[in-house]
Amino acid sequence: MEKRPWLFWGIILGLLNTFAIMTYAPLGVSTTYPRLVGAMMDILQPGLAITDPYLKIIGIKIGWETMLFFGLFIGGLIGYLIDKTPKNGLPALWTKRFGTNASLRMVHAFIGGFLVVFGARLAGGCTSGHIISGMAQMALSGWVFATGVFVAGMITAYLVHGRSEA
Amino acid sequence: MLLLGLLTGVAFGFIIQRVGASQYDNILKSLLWRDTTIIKFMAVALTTTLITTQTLALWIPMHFAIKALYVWGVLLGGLIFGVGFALAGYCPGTAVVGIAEIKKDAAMVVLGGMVGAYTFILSYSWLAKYLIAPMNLGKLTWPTMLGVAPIIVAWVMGILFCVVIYILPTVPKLCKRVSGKNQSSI
Repeated sequence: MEKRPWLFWGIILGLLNTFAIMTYAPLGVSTTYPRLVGAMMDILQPGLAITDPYLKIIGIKIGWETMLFFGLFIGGLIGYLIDKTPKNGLPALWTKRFGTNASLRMVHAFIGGFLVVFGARLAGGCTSGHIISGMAQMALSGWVFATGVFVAGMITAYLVHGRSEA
Repeated sequence: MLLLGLLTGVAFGFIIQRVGASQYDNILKSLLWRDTTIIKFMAVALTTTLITTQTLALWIPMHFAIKALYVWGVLLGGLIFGVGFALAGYCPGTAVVGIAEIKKDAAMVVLGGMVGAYTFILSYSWLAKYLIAPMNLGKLTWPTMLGVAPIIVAWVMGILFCVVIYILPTVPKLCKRVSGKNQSSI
């Protein structure tokens, strides 16, 4: 039997998002990053959250989305604990191309993390907000974002890995 | 509402972990077109949501939230995101799951993300002026643009997505040819 994890888990995630849209809002993650950073900035500089032009819009109060963010961690942990063969070393594909230099991997991860959150905030959503939720709501913004992500993502992936065969 | 958010997040995180979307290798294999599992997972998820929410919306109110299309910001943001996605092998949500799996690189993605968020907050006024305010077409959707009822667009689009997902090979032949040595393992 051909394994189709994408079909089963895809339907489950789709139904979860339907549940989220019925009960509160579509799934979305990336706003929580500036919200958490904003909350820290507000502690260091009280009152900033009500004057800063961006924090004013998103607010820094802990809400549904912030809890969703922490829930991701708990859900991931449950999945990890029932995994029989944990995969948490350096990614195999990455080491095939760059060797076992862990600090270089950390540099890539940091720069990549910077870009995904900065890009997501500029666009107003990430993989969940713009693609999985946005395209599911037939929003044109989701299509434009997804086009940008996959064009740049595939070119970058090829530039990084293209010559090292799978 | 807080508990609801937490439980929804737990389910979301569990799904991401189970399907393997929190693994660098799986993200990169999708972007390199070697194993499209993650792309198909995302496509199945959004198709399911598309059809169920629009059908249910005929009878019950839904909390839809359409994002505005400000062409420059959304497109440039998507391109920047794409570069980061391929470098990190994580997106903002899967990195949190990766931390739960005790992956150091996932922690660096989240740390980089926090610095990225800080940079965005500081540069927001400038970005808003040049990339978010101009060419803002508002909360545009396919049904409003085409002038067709959402339920019809949803079902037509949903069926088209199903066909594409069905046709799209999980392990494309092109890649089998390129990496002929590995054919037996596929």
